[in-house]
Amino acid sequence: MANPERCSKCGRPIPADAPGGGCPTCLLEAGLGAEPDTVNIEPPRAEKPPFTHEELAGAFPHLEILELVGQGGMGVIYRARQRSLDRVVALKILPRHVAADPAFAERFNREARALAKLSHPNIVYVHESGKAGGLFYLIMEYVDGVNLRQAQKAGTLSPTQALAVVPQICDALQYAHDQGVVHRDIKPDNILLDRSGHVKIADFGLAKLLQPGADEATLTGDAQVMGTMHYMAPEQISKPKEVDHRADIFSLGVVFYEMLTGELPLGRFVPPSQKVEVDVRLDRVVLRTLEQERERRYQRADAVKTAVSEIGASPRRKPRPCDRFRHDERHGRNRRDGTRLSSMAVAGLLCYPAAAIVGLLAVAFGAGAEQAMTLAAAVAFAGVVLCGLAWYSIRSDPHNLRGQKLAAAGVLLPVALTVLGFGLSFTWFLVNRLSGGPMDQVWADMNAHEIGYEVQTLLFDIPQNDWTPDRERISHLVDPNRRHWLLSLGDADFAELRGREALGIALVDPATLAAPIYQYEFTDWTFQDGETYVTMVHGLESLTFPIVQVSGNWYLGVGKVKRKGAGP
Amino acid sequence: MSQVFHTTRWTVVLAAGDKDRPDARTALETLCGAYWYPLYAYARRRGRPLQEAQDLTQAFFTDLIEKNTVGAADRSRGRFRAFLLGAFKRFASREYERARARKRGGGCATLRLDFDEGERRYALEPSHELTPERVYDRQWAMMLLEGVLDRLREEMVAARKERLFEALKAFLTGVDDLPAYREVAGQLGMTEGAVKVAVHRLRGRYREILRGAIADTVETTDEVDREISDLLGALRG
Repeated sequence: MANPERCSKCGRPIPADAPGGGCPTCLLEAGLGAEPDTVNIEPPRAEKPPFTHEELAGAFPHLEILELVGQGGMGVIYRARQRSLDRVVALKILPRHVAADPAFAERFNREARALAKLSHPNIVYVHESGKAGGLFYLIMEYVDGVNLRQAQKAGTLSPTQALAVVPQICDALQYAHDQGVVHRDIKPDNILLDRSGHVKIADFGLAKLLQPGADEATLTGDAQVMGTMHYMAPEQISKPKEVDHRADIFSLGVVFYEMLTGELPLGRFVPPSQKVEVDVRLDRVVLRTLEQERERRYQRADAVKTAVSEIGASPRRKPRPCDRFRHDERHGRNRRDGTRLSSMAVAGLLCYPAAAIVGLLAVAFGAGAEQAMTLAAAVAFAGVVLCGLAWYSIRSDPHNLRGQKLAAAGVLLPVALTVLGFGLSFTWFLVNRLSGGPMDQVWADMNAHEIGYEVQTLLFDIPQNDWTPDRERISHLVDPNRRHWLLSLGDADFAELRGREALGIALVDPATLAAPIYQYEFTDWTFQDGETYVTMVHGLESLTFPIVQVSGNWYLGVGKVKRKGAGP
Repeated sequence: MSQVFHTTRWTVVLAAGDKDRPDARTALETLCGAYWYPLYAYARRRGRPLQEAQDLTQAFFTDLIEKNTVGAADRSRGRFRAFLLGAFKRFASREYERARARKRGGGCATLRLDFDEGERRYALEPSHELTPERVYDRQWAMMLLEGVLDRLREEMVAARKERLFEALKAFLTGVDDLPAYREVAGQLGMTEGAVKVAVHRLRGRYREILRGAIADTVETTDEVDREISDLLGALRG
C-alpha cells in the first residue's frame, strides 16, 4: 500500500485515493442517522489543576485547601477552610496573567473594596481580597449548591421555579446598582442556588476588573468574551464605554428567557409563551428586558421584579391566537383592539383565495357558472368589506402600521384586479370590432346560430405550415363527414405553455396525414347540419368547438360556446 | 445538487418515462457526469484494456443519454447505482459491437469524460482481490465523498473561509481531539470554543450536502441511510 497512514478514529488504513485525504469510512459514517448533538461551547477544562498543592499551601497558610470546585476564564475556585474561624469559604484565584499588568494591582484594590461593601442575602459575600505568592485572590462566602447552568442541564428547573429565581436576582441587582456596581457578566454560571433554593450571585464586577479592554474585544477574541457573548447587552459590544446597569437587565432577560424556554433568545426569537406553556403576560416582561435599546427596557431591576410578582399573584392567562400579532406591537395604546382589527384585515385578505375555492367547489358540485360566480363574488365582497372596515378603524393608529398595510392591500387588491379585468376585456372587444379579421368571417360562415350555438369568442385559426409528422404521438380519426383528422397527444413545448391538458387536432390529407396541430383534450365528435363540432375538455370546462371552412382555409373555433336551445 | 430533496434527480429521471422531459435529460447527464468513473473502474477491473474500457464507457453513456433507455424501461429501477451497473453490464455484453459501429459512423460524445484523470485514479486503486462489482461500489463511495467535499470547499471558498475549511476538514470524520482543537485554534488565531462551533457548523453542512447527494441517486429519501450502510459495507470490504 502506498500510504500506510491510519485513521485516528477507526484505525483503518486510509487508502491513497481517499477523497480529501480523510478516512472515507468515517466520512460516510458521519452522514448516517440522526443529527449529532450540539457541541458544548464552554471553554474546555484543563487536564490538571493549575496550582500545585505546595504552591497553594505556601501562598495561603491560613487556609486548608479542600478541593478544586471550578475553573474557567475568570480564574480557579477552591473550597477551603479558614483555619482561624473554622469556616468553609471559597477561594478564587485570578488567572496568573493578570499579574503581568502593572496597573492591575491598583485597579484590583479599588474594585475589591467596592465589592466587599456589597452585603446582600442574594449576593456572594467577599470576605477578603489581596495578593499572595504573586497570585491575586478573593476569599468569598462558600455556597453549597449548584449554579443555574448546572440546574438547567440537570433538568431540575421548571418554569415555576424560574419565576421564583428571577425576583431574587432582581433584588441582588437592584441592591448592587444602588451601590453603583454593575455586574456586567450575568449568566447562568454566575447565578448560584444553595440547597434551600436561595439565589446567590457571584463575580460582581469581575468582568470589568479582569477585562477592562475586553468589552472592546472582537467576537473571536478572548474565550471568556466568546462564551458569555449571548448574555451581553448589545451596547456592551457596540459602545462598551457607556455600559450602565441596564446592561445587567438585558442579561437578566436572556437568563430569564433561557430558564423559561431552554433556549437562548437569538435572532428572531418567539415569545416564551409560544414555545412553552407559561403565562402569556410573561412575554411582555421578558421581551421588554430584551429590548435592543436600553431606553426601552425596564429602567430598574426592581421594576422587573414587580412585573413578575404581579403576574405570579393574579390568575394565569393562557396564550390566545392573536398574541402572535401583539409581539411586535408592544407599545400600542389600544393594543388589543389594534390586534383584533389586524386579524380582521387578515381574515378579509383570506376571503379572496376562499372565494376562488368556493367558486371551484360550486362548479365541482354541479352548480352553474353563474351561481358559482355569484357565490365567489359574495365571498370576495365580504373580504372587501372586512378589509375596508379594518382600514377605516385603524387608519390613524400610528402603532399599527402593519395592520394598516394589510387592510389597505385587502381593499386595493380587488379594485386593481377589477380595473385590470375591465381594461383587458375592453381592449379585446375593440380589437375584435375594429380589425374585422378572420374571426368575423368565421362567425358569418359557420351558421352557429341556426343550429343552436352561439360562439362567443374565437381564439385562433389553423396555420397550414406548422406540422410535425410524429406518428407515435398522433391518433388518426375519421369524422362522420369522412374527413380525416389527427389528434396529437401533446407537444412538449406547447404543453408547457398551455398546461398539461394540451392536445392537438388538425384536419389532414388522408394520403400524407400532414396538417397542423392544436391543443386540447378530445372527448367527442358531434355532427349536425353539415357542420362538425368537436368536444374537448380543458380543465374543469367542457368546450365544444366548431370546425369550419372559410374561403378554402379550415378554422378551429376555439373558445366558449354557449348553448342557446336544444343542441346536439 | 438539489437541496430540495422531495424530488431527487433520480426520481426526475424515472418519472420522465416516455414523455420527453428536458429536465430529465439534464438530471441524467448530471448524475452520469458525477458517477462515470466507478463504471470505468469496473470495466478495467474486468480486464478490459485501457482503450477498450474507454470506448465502452463513452459509448455506453452516449447511448444511455441519447436513447433515453431509462425512460423506455420499467419504473421500478431501484437505486441509480444498481441501475447504472446493470445497464452497463447489458450494454457491454450485447450492444457494444453495434455501438462501436455507430460510433465509427460519426456518433458524437454526449458526456465529456476525462479518461486521463480516470486512468491516474485507477492506478491508485489498491491491488487487492476485490471483485469488479466491489470495485464499482467502492469507487462509487469515493466519487460521492469527493463530490461532497468539493462542493463543501466551494461553498467555504465562496464565503472566503478557505483557510478555515482546510484547517477543519480533518474534523469532518468525527474525531473529537482536544489537543487538535487547541492546535488549530492557535494556527487560526481563534478560541477553542470558536473552533468547536465552526467544526460543528461545518459538520452540519457536510451532512446536508452528503445526504442530499445520496438522495439524488435513490428513489425516496427514506433510502438514504440504507444506501450509506451499503456503501460502508463496500468500503469496509
